[in-house]
Amino acid sequence: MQKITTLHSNDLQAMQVGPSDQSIQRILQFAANYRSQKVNNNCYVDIILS
Amino acid sequence: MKTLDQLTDEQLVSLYEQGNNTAFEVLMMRYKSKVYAYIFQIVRDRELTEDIFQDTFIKAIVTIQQGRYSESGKFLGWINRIAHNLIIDHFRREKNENTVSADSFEYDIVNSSKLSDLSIEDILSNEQVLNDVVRMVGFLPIVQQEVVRMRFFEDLSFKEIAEKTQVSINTALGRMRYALLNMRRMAAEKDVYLELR
Repeated sequence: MQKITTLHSNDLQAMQVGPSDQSIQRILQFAANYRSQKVNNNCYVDIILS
Repeated sequence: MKTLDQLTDEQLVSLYEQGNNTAFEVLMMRYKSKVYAYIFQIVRDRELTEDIFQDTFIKAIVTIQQGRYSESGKFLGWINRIAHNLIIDHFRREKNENTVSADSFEYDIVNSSKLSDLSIEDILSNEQVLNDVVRMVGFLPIVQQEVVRMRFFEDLSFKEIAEKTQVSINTALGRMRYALLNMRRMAAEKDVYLELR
């Protein structure tokens, strides 16, 4: 069976454009504010820095 | 002294774990396009891609900060697996929700952006094709598995693969060629349907 993958021009555009600035800013903000503290083997306490 | 851009993924993860937020920014910028394209090629919906992209990196952040990241040298493969699992979760959830709401006329099936482009069945079918491919890789000789994984799942160049496996580029290319031939033969023998919708 021949493998056929159809790509449309808007697909290529989306792949080239990448994530929005808003998404990147949200992630970076979370990355900067989130820390975690291990309490015991499987238990963590989330810490959100302000 | 090396700049952050010159550090390996593992070094950046380690720095971020120690509190260096810029290290995470460098890591994300390094892979944002590849992760985004990976998600988009499956879901084919930009809004949904944005959501899953954000969730993927947030899950990665939590895992790193909890000290549970242990994928030495395979950051891209690791983060793509997170994205992959989130995509599956999303469509499983949506499929269940649609089954319930269609009867109550609350779900507008005609105006669903996902259904107007690619149906849930198409997406699950594509998912099945990808799973079949992954399973077939497991039946290849080890040296061929290695080159397929590095090329497609970790996105390494043939030069990098050759260096990692300590063979010439021609050998790496040859292994890939035989891997693809073997997988095509397996698909034909087992009558596995490999057409993406």
